[in-house]
Amino acid sequence: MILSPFEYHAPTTIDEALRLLSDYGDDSRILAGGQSLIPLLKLNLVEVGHIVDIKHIPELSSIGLEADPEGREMLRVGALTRHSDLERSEIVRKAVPLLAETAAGIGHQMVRNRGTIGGSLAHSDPSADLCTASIALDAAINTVSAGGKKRTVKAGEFFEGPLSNCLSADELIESVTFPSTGPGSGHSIKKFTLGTGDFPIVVVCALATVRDGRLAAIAISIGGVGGTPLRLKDAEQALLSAASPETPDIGTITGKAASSLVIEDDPRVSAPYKRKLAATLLRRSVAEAIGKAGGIS
Amino acid sequence: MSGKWKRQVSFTVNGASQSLEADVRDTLLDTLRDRVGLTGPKKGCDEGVCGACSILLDGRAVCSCSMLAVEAHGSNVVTIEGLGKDGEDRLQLSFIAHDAMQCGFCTPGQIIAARSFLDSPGADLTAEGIKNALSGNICRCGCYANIIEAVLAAARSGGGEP
Repeated sequence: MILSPFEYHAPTTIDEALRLLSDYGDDSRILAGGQSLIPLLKLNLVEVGHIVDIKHIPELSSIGLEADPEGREMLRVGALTRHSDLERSEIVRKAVPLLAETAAGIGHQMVRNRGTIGGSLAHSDPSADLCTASIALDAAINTVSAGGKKRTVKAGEFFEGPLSNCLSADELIESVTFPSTGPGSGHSIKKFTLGTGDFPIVVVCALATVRDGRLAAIAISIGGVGGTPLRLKDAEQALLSAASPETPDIGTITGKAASSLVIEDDPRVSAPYKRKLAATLLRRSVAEAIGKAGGIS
Repeated sequence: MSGKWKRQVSFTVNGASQSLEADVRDTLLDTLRDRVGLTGPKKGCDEGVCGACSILLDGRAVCSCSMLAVEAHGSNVVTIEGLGKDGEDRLQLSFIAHDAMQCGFCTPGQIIAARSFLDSPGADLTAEGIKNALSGNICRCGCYANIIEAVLAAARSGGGEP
């Protein structure tokens, strides 16, 4: 049971939630799906005076398509969108299939039925599937803070360390936007877990675009090897500017990326083992993404 | 403790309205077992890993140990006791027919998770799909083979509705 007492608040509007967060600051915590926060409260790893349950705010649950100022199609999902909603939504599956596939692989059914995208990003676990995917997908995190002040943070600049990010205590994630990944693109998520449903030890996402048989764009991210999920820009650049664009040596490039990662021992696996996992998952994931995009000819 | 540490929680449990005053720290699992008197949901790991506490919350399986009772305010909760009250739930009968249990501790959670899966749109009704759907429900007796058979049979005979 939870030992440390707290006051429970269930605001029904964003304004009311922001007022509570601004009044109680660091002594408050937002409760969304609770799949991380409730266990942390039970373990007394989080002790706060005020819990702000945002699940009664209807504006935070929505899935829809919109156009950005340049006219590109964007998927917007509300912060309270559950993993199982991402997994099942036809809109998500069509616009950003990597997001749907990532959600479908999180934890187990009961976690997916309760956990939310906003909660997962705000919790900022460096090996979380959605945090890693959001970086590969160039997601934008839309927040609102006291006084209705809004801002948008790129996923790549959002995470600051294990379980920490750039959100202030009175700031709430409202929604997350993802550029639609159109035709000609292929995706892959590969991870290693000790058992089905466990948190990944290493997770890798890749998103490739192939045009006229040539690799036109690629994004690669990895989670579980540092304080935050990382984007592997050097490997991306190496793949794009490979000496023989018809047959970039995926194994060599991803192997080099894995050997340049700063990896520390993990209570579950040693650092050298983790590096081998990273190399294998990177190679498979990049090859699969390029293959699904139509392959390089 | 009283006052701001307590909250009135009103919800539907197995079709009946319930209203009780809960300590805001109480989990839904403890509340169902100790206050409502429903001991079908079991306390196994109490940290969202074993699935023995699974209940249907507005039709979807969730771990009742990993949510507060106050979070269920206004929701529709179904426990194993609420499935096939007259003992005619097809999924439960299928578990019996396939001998899909030994000690039975995990069985309520297995059946709730299976029901949620069978009711979800586009469910992959294959042995592989069932394994994936029930991966959050641990059976320490190791009855998995029979459990999968039981759910497959219920799926083939119409999704487990009585």
